[in-house]
Amino acid sequence: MPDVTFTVDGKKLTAPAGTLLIDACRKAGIEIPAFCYYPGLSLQAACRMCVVRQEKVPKLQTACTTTVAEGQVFITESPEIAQARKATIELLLGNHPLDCPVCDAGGECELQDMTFKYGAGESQFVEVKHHRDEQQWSPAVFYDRPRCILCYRCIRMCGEGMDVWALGIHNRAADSVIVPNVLGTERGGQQLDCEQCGMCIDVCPVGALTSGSYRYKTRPWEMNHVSTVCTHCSDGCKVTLGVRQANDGSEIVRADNRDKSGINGDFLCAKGRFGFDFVESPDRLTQPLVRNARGRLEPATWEHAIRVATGKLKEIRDTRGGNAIGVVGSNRTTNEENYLLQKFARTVIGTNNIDHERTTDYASFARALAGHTGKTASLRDIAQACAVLLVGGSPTDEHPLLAWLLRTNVRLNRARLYIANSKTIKLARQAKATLDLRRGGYDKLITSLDSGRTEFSKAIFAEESLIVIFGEEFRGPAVENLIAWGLKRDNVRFAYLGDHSNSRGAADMGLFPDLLPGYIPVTAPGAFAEYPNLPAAPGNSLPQMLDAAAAGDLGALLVVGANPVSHAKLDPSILQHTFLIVQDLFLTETAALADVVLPAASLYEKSGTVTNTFGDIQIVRKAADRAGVKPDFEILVRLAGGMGIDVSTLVPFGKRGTTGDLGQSRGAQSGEADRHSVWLEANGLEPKLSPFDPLAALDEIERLVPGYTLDRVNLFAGNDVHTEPASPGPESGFVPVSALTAPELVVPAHDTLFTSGALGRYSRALGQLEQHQANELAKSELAKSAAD
Amino acid sequence: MVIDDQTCMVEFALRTMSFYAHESCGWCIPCREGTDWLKKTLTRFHAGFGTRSDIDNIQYLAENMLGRTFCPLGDAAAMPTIAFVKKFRKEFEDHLNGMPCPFAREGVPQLTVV
Ligand code: SF4
Ligand code: SF4
Ligand code: SF4
Ligand code: SF4
Ligand code: FES
Repeated sequence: MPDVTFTVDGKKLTAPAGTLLIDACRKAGIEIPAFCYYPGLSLQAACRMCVVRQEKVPKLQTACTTTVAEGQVFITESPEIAQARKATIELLLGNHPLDCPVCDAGGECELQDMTFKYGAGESQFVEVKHHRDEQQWSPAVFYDRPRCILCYRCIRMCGEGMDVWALGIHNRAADSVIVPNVLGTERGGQQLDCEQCGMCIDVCPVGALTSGSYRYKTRPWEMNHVSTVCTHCSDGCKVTLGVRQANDGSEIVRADNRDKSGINGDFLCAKGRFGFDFVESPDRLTQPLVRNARGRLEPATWEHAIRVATGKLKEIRDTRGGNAIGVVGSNRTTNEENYLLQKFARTVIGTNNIDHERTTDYASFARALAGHTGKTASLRDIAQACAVLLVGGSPTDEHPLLAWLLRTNVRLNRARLYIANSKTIKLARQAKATLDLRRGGYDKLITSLDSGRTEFSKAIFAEESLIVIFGEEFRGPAVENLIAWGLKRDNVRFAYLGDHSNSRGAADMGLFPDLLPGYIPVTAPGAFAEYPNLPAAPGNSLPQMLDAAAAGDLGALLVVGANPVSHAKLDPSILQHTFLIVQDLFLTETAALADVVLPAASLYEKSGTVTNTFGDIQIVRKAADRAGVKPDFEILVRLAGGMGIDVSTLVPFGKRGTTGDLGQSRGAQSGEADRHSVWLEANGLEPKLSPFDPLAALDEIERLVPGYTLDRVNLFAGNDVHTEPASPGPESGFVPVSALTAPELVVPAHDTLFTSGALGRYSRALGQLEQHQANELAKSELAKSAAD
Repeated sequence: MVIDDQTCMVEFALRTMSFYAHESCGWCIPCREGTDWLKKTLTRFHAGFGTRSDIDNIQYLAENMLGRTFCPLGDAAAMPTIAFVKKFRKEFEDHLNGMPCPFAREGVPQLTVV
């Protein structure tokens, strides 16, 4: 659209013709009040708050539906307009309960703000207000009709945004109410059968929709708001945690992303929004446990637990060699922790026996893309792509943010979505064309794409640029074939779907027996030359380690944030000859068998970086705190220290390094470290990072890991920074990965909207939502069979 | 519309507003809340429980609905209401001080209010 020039409040503005006046004004810093307008959702013109005066037009016009054209003249603030807005608020307040002192929205309520701004402070209303009892629609969603201003944001968010369409309006005039999709027979029996994402609560401008987990808990100004990254799926939503002081540290009371920072904007799914309460679970480990002489786990001090663990590790390493020890890493720990873990395994223990529970085959992805740059797609690329081919996967359940971005891109930008799947997935509703792979399966895909006969293949062929997103259905050679197919064309980029919040980071950081960070083979000559005593031969994969344990050949196993006993459905007795050390949040099936259990901090209680499945790195900021636990990073440094290692060889801090000030604890990451360095500087000494500061490791990651060239300013500002699994050419130090990847090692988690491995199991909120949805499903099936 | 001088204008305003309050779809705030509020006030007023400030408030509310609604239903409700108050203020005032409708006192049959 060509630009047009128009006048607002005497200022000349320029915008593409057809832009909504409200958007054009906001862009120019002119705020126009709005209740019903919500960017990205359909227009309502219902609240009449955005009225402005347009020259030569008799009535006030709504800025949310007026499109700009050449030469128009608008006034957005005048006594007449202020009066109109004031009157609208007075009318709203007529039936409004004004229970602000107890209302969740109090302090961040758009109605409060507008009342304050337009001064509708006196009420002429003396009639009896409409009252309706509050309703609970699900464990997550409560509705308080008296506070509802009927802006219909919730309805549109659920329908247009989520494609769930669970909300609607009943009755008319002043009796209008918002209703959920399951209408009860008796009063208050209404229920929501939906994705329980809480987006409706999030966009509600007032306190009409409130969240089961947050309501009546706190006031907004009592919280600190910390922006970090969701710990559940691998999409990496930015999440703002509302944190409050509690007796045993600090407590997370809310999660949202109202500031719309990050790739996800205001989007969060049920897990990100409600599934943070696992950190508060009564089952949380807060003390190290050591198995006593009678074979029972009993609480111990950190010093004792570390001494027992390192004593045994050292003994086994020194008597039986490093290869008698295995290390299993996590899909949820930070990049720095993963990096440190493999470095610990390789240089302190001296083994390549390191692996993680692989949920997708990133190693094949990296190998297939070796030598190519600009061929991976970030989430932002996907959000703006003209055409996307989605092969396999089930984003609505397993990658809610990806599904949201694809839906939004189709809805607002008319992107073309093509879906090839062996199942029917919900996103097919947004697809321009689908290819049914029920018969023939994914092997048939490329032939079918190349055939040029079907409408589907013709449409794909006609696309000038394409992003191909594929799921774990593709592993090993299948990944390479698909990527080879795409690389033959000019403008194809790829994304590969893995499962957990830092599965990609675990792979990128070399939690592999045969691959170093950056997918460099351990066998590559000269790779990571600065690592002391790097073993040259590939180590054992996770199943191989477990086999060795069963055969009595594995002296010790260090498991960090993983649960192989449950994951691989192990017979617990196979670990009886292995000294087992587990770092975890909970006494999982694996931790219960351990000799030493070290209570770890969750992602919300530490800082560092994580990489989502698209390769976008984001910064993780410590939000909550829990007495007794330590971040895995610090635990690893302590383990290394306990094994008599010069910690500065492991974590490069300070110029000369030091043998680690192990006296520092949790506070060392923030205030304490700052005060420490102020003191050092004042005394003419060299300021040093604490050895427990993960950012010290980030430097080394950047220096040694191909592809992790980071735009620090953006990263630290909280933006996502895209990386690629490989950089081109041997001159940059990159060596193509070895052929040693085994697709059968990949076990996808297939999490649903309400499950998230161990974290999900310990989240009460997610448990309740899962139960609620199971009940709704049972009810609807009952109704269906009754109808048949 | 022709109305004879035996019709109570307050009652007529109430009847009119009751109609619009019922017909309002509820989409936009001025119409949904305005018709509801006016109906409530007029009901009370007509029953003899009005105050002098109600008269001004009725006019204020109607004037603030006029031209501000999504569709013309709001205008249609507001316009006659403004006229009733402006042109028949006396009849409104006759309802004050706890007095029942003067027309009812004289035995004029009441309009049915929906
Ligand atoms: S919704 Fe807003 S105005 Fe209404 S009671 Fe809550 S805080 Fe007060
Ligand atoms: S929770 Fe999400 S899916 Fe459920 S009604 Fe609200 S917006 Fe719709
Ligand atoms: S519940 Fe909230 S979002 Fe929905 S219509 Fe009412 S005020 Fe608007
Ligand atoms: S989509 Fe994934 S990253 Fe985003 S809130 Fe949900 S679980 Fe967390
Ligand atoms: S924002 Fe324009 S009418 Fe509500």
